[in-house]
This record gives sequence, structure tokens and C-alpha cells, in this order.
Amino acid sequence: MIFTDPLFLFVFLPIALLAFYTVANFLGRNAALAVLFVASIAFYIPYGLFSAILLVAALVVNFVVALAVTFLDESKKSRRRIYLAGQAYNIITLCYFKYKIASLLFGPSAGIMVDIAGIAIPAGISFYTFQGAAFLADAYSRDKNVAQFLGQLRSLRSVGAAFCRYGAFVSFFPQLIIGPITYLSEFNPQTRSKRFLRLDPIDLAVGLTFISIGMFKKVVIADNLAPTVDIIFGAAQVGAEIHPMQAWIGALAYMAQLYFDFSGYSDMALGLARMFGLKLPINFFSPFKANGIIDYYRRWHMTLTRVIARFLYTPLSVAGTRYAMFNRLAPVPAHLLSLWFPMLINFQIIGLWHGALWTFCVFGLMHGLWYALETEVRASKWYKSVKAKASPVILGFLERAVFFLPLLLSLAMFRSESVIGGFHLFSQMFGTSFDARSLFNMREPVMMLTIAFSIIYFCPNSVELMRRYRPAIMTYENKSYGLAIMRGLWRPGWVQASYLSVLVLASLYYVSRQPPFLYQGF
Amino acid sequence: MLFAASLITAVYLSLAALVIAVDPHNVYSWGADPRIEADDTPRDLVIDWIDVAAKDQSYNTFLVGSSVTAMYSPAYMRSVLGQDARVMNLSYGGPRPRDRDLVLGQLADNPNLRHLILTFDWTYIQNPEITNRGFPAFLYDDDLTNDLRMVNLPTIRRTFDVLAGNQTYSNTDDTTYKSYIDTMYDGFQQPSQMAEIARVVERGRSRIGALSGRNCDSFLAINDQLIPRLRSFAKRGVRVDILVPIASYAFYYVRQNDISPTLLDEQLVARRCLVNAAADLSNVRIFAFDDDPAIAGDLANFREVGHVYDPAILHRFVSALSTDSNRLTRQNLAEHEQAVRSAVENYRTTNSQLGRVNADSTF
Amino acid sequence: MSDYQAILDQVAEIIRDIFDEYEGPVTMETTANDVAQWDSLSHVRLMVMIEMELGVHFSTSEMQSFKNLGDLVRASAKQKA
Repeated sequence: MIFTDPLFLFVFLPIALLAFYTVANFLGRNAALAVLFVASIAFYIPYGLFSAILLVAALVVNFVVALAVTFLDESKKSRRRIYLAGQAYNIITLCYFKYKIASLLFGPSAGIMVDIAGIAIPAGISFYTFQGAAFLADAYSRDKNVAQFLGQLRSLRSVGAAFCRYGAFVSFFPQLIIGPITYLSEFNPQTRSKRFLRLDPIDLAVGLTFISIGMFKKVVIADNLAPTVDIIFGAAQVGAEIHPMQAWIGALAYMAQLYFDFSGYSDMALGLARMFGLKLPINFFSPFKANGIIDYYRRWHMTLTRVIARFLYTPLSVAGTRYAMFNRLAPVPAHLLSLWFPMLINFQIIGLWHGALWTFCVFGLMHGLWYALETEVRASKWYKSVKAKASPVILGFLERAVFFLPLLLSLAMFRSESVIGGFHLFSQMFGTSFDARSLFNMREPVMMLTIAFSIIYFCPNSVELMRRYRPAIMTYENKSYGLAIMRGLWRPGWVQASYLSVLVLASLYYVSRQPPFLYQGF
Repeated sequence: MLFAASLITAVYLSLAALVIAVDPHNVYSWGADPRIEADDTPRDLVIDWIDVAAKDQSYNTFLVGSSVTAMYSPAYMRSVLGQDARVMNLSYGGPRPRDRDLVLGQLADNPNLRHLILTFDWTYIQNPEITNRGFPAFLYDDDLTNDLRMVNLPTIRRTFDVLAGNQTYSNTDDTTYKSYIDTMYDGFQQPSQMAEIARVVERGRSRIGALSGRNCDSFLAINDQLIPRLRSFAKRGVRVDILVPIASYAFYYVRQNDISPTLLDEQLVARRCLVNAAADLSNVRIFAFDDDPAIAGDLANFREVGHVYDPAILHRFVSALSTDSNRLTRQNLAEHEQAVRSAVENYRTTNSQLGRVNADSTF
Repeated sequence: MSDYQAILDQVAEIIRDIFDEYEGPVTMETTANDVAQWDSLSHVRLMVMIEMELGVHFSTSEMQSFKNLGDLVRASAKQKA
């Protein structure tokens, strides 16, 4: 199911909430978490029975491995082997089902193997696999949350209860399909808190606020930018001549579409979880207000950044730094080993995490080089002296000006249907096809873009707006940018409810709409 | 806050229940049984009215076309096809393979269907899953749960209409539509437009004949969707007439830019695949007109490079069904293909009303 | 306690070396947020430097788990003991 689906919002969600709080009231914590687990599986089944079986298989394997590494003694060699086998299962299933490695290797005629891989990519596999893998790593490093979460397993019944708790953690439906990728250290303390399971009207109100805002972002803003994006990127793919103005509008529209799509979904995830009294880690914090790519990655899809930094970049960088320092390498090779190579690999994986496409490779390369370069610049004496002298306002403005264009171009590459199509779009943006045939009527897209970018730059983000209610677990410490005057506080009341109702009604209108295309289609 | 949420939920759910119970689009077995007003042309409303029309057993002839056939009224068609033809025009703008196939699927359930007229639009070079963005595909798929998406203002209004006893649907946009078409024609018949097209033609000439390298195996929307449908219609004795819409030769140059760089070749290969697979089926006929430069070469006939305006040509287009002229068959296919290909490759922008157009002419 | 102080003195020297602009105090409570130059990149360099100077070894997850210098000093002291 999708969050914006009326069936989800008006049927599934009320039933799940009712079941959860009723069971919580009469049967307690374990039963309530079991309800969440069952609801999550029910939520997932419409994505395909095979995908659901794969999800449950991943849960069972990871749970068994987690039990083994938690209860086996440190001295046992098998502990490490079991752990590695568990992680290998995660990596292999991800590669097999997401990247269709088998069909790439064996071609289209390798029989049944390919047929299984030939099904659609199981929804959310990259998210739940990462969450499961991070949990296993926590279990292996004996994070105290894991032992506490699994509890005393004396009987089969308690093992079953522990599995349901684990299932609820990994497959919790607000975060199952598109994150945020949560750590157990964030989830476990909340489920043990006295406030958990208690129906608090504030939780529901805050949750509803996030759901309304998120739905509006996704359905009204992002989905209305989509047609323009599709036209321009489709035209770029066939090598069309595009008026530079329209090429820019297309690229900008995608930038805004991606932002509102993903942050809308993330807001809804926060809101849905909050309705069950749970807080998720924050995934978005005004990324386009960032002052550079480093800042950007602390604000954009933060839970992915931190999980990949933890398991990939940091170990690589530590290994590179150790090697460089023990061997007393010169500064340039030392930097290559401790920064550039780990960074490029890190971003290559972030790029490919989205799918096995060349455009994502190029995107990863662009961001990797850019991130490393910005790191070097910010560490340089020159930048520090500039920073010491310049006014922070002017510097902030300049940094954002430098930041914008590469971001726009790299995101355009990210969206392109092929690398050639991406470069073709660049050539049209900076080209001179002023007599190209107009591909769409500009008035509406330009208006949408103006609204979208005004919201991006001038409005507080939903977490800032709701900060009184601590709506999310802060993944990174982030500064709030933007005008202080715009950072009003929100508290539930009649006025707010009516604002939100307008958002919801607008979204509902678009969810069910068949966009008018009177006489337009050729 | 919670009150507002509960209120919205309650209102929404009761409206949804009402809409689904009344079923104004007639998609379910219990649906309302509305009729489309006699001689009305639903045009773009057709996307909501497909089942209303398809389940109406008083029709025996359906025209399933696109914006190029949206103007034919049932009366007009009857005057061409004879008084026995009870026609419904199910043409809507910008059909794409998947929604076209859904429409044919709904029509297949009408037991009284005798005659089907289909346009073979350029869209058939696309992949089968491509869908018109505005088409409510969710209403016609196997998944019932997503039908909730039909609960929108027009449908709610329609539901109350039905409840009020108003069972006939009509589309009152005939005058708007006519003035839209006329404005479009006037806007197109401008020297500046012609000069613009002439420029595009000259610029694209070197690439226009390029081969796409595609063969019939790659046209899945034809092989997997259209042909099986044609076979089953033909088998149960439904007459199927396929009209290849008349696009101007300039169309291939202008739309090369946003449809495909090898648009011409793909269109001709697709045509060949259709003829090879379907022309020999009993009850199936294919018609094409654009090998005639007087029709497809003269932009004075058009309101847009892909849309004929001239009433005489529009009449010839459908009357061929009665006179059995302009057939495309296995025998004349090679000749037809060659004629269109060379006419497009050697095309010089022409408009008999405005005179010969040169790329560099300044009007 | 004196163990800790000795280690902290050594760490302070390394910190002053890497973060040459930092002039504030170095205590058990010092965190990365207190030192402007202390980012994730220099964090790794600092850790490896401390490993070399003190003859200890941290795992990557350990490196990321230190909340302040106190955590680091205590972990080092535990290894040296």
C-alpha cells in the first residue's frame, strides 16, 4: 500500500490504530508490538506475495543470526562465522533481487534462476535490508539495546514474542518501504518507556499534522511537477532540441519534484509512526538550504548517509589513514587514501543503492568528487582566512550560489533515462536552440516552480514547525537556516485543524483526480 | 484536530460508499444503468464513460480513435455507414497502448458488438505498459481496492444526478469543441508557422530517413495487445476496420524531436507488422491514405501537423469504409511504404492556401 | 585517576598538534563540537594518531562511539592496563 492511497488512510490506518491501542490496553506491550508486526505484513502483501515471503525470510534469518551472536560466547569462533553468514545473506539477497546480478551474469536464457530474479524488485528491499544489517552489526558488537530488546528467552513463547518485537522493529510499516533506516538504539528505549502504549491525543494530533503536510507535498506539489519533468527528460532521452528555458524548467522541476516527493513521504512516515506513539529518526532537514554538499548530506536522506558512513566510509577511511600514517606517506597520497578513495567508493555505493544504472554511477562520481573537493577546500588555509574576514551573510549567500548549479546538474543526471540523455539535457540547458518547438505550456509549470522554491527557501520545515513536540529523533545536529520570522511555532487547535483540512482536501482532490487533458493529447 | 480528522474520514468514507454503491460509471455489475444521450459525442469525457457505452447493448458499432477522430458524431457516422449502424464514438485525446487495450477489453464484453473502427495511432511504437496520464486505468484493472480513486468531485456530482433520477449523460461541449478546432486551424494557417515548419524540415532532412533497426518482434504493443484482440474479435464475427490516421509529411519532422529520432522508420515498420499479422484475418480491413501527397503533403488540409481539418478529407477518411477504397494489403504494402517514405524524405513544405514555402523565405 | 591524567596530557598534545587553531581547554568533557576544526575527517586522523602514540587499537565502531575525550581516555587506559 502507498501512504497516499485513500484505502490506506481511511481504512487501513484507522483499523490498525484501533487494534493497536485496544490490544495495548488489554494485553500489553508484546501483544501490541505483535499487532504492529501483523499490520505491517498486511500492509506489505499488496506489493506481491513473493516479496512478502522474501521479507519474512529476511526477518527470520536475521533474527536467528542475531540470537546466535547475542548468546554465543565471545571466545567461540563460530560466532564470527555466523555473523558473517548473516550479513552475506543480506548482501546477496539485496544484490540478487535488486540488481538482478544473476540476469546480468547469465544472460536472459539461464532458466529458472533468472525467472525468480525477473520479478519486479521487491519493494523496500534496500531499506529493510540495511535496517536488518545495522541491527545485526549492533548485535555483534554487543550493543546493550539488543540484549535488552531480545530479553530473556526461556520458553518458545518468549522466543515468539521476541520475534514479533523484532518483526515490528524492522517491518514497521511507516518506515518499511522508504525508510528512515532506524537503529535499534532509537527504537528500543521508546518501546520500554512508560508512555508507550498510552493513547495520547497529542501524538495523534502531531501525527495527523505530519501526514497532512507530507501528503500535500507529495500529491499536490510533487505530482503536479511530474508531467513537466517527464516531458523534458523524455525529450532529452530521444535527443530532442529543447529551448534552453524549457530545459532549465525541466531540470528545476525535477529538483523540486524529488524534494517534495521524498520529504513528503518522510513527513508522512514520521506522522504515521507518531500516531502509534513512536518517533523515527529524522531523514530530511531542509537539504536545499544547505551551504554545500557536506551540509547537504547532513540534511538529505540522513539515515542513509549515516548508515553508509558507518559501515563503509569510516572503516575505509580508517584503514587508509592507518596505512598512510604508519608508512608516513606524503600529504597527497595520504589524502587520496584517507579521503578521496573512501569518499568516491562511498558515493558510488550511495549512487548504486538507488539501482543498477549508469546514470546513478555518474551521479555518484559527481557527488564523490564534489564532496572530497569541498572537504579539501574547507580545510585549506585560504578558505579559513576568507571565512575569518568575510561577513557570514555574504559568505553564506556565495556558498549557496556555488552549491546550486552542481546540485541541479547532478540531480538532473540522477533522473535522466541514460547518461547520454543526461548530457544531452545539459547541452540543451546551455545551448542555443531558441527556435526549438515548445514542448509544453510554460505558465503552469513556472507558477508551480515559483511556489515550490518559495516553500523550499522561505518556509520552516515541518520538524522546525513542530519542534515543541519533538517530532523526530535528530540524526545530526543541524542549524536552522532561514528567516527567524518564518519559524513560528505550531500547536494543535481549531485554526490549525482548518489549515490542515484544506491541505488534506486539496490532496484528496488530486489523489482521485483524472487530470484534465481536454483536447491536448496528440 | 482529531474531530476534524474524524469528520473528514467519515464524510469521505460515506461519499465513497455512496459513489461505489451507485456506480455512476457503470463499472460494476450492480452499476447504475445510465445512457449516453442519443447522438452525443463524449470526447474527453469518454474516459469515465467507457463502461457506460460498452455495456449499452443498443450500440453495435464503436469508433475507438484519438483526437484525430473525436469530431465524428454518431449521426455523421450513420450517414456514412448506413442507418443500421448505431454508433458510439469512443475517441479520446492521446491514447496510449495500455489504455487503448483496456478500452478494447471492455468492448469485448458487449455481445451486440458488430463493427469496430479503430485508429492505428503512432502510439503503437511504444511499450505496452505506457498509459495516458489522465486515463483512469485503476477502474478497469483487476485491483478493486484502488477504485476508491474515482471518488472525486465530478463523480460525486454524477452520483447525485443519478440518485435524482437523471439517467442520461450528455456532453454539452460541442460548441466549445468546434471553436477550439477552428481557432487551432486559424492559428496554424499562418505564414510564420509554415516558415517555422519549413525550417524544421530542412534541418531534419539529413536524419529523417534513418533506420531504427527495429523489427516486428520489438513492437510488443502490437504483438501482445492489439493482434490478440483483433484475432478474438475477428473470430466471433465482429468486423474490424483499422484506419491509419492521416499525418502530414511534416509530422515526421516536427515530432521526430520529441517522439523518436527514427519516427518515420518506426511508423512504417509498425504498419508493416500490423499488415503482416492482421490483413489476412477474415473480417479485418486496414485503410491508409497518406501515400497521396495532395492529402498528406498539403498543410492547408491540417489544423496541426498530425491533425486533418479539411471536411472533405475527413469525409473520405470514413467513407472509405463503405466504398472499400484505399485498402492496405500485403500486396500493395511494399509500394505504399516506399511511396510514403520517399514522399517524406523529399518533402518540401507546401501549403496550397499560402503558396509554396521555403525555409529561408521571409513572409 | 593519575593514569587518566597522563593519557589525557598525551591526547591534549596531539589535539593541539592537529587542531592548531584551538586554544581552549582540553578536558575529559571536551567534545568534537567544542573544536571548530574537528570534523569527521580529522576525527579519523586524530584516532589513528592516538593509536600510534599510545600504542592502543580502536575498532571503527569504537571510534564512533566515543562521546567525549573521557570515553576515549578510559578506553585507552583499559587497553594499557
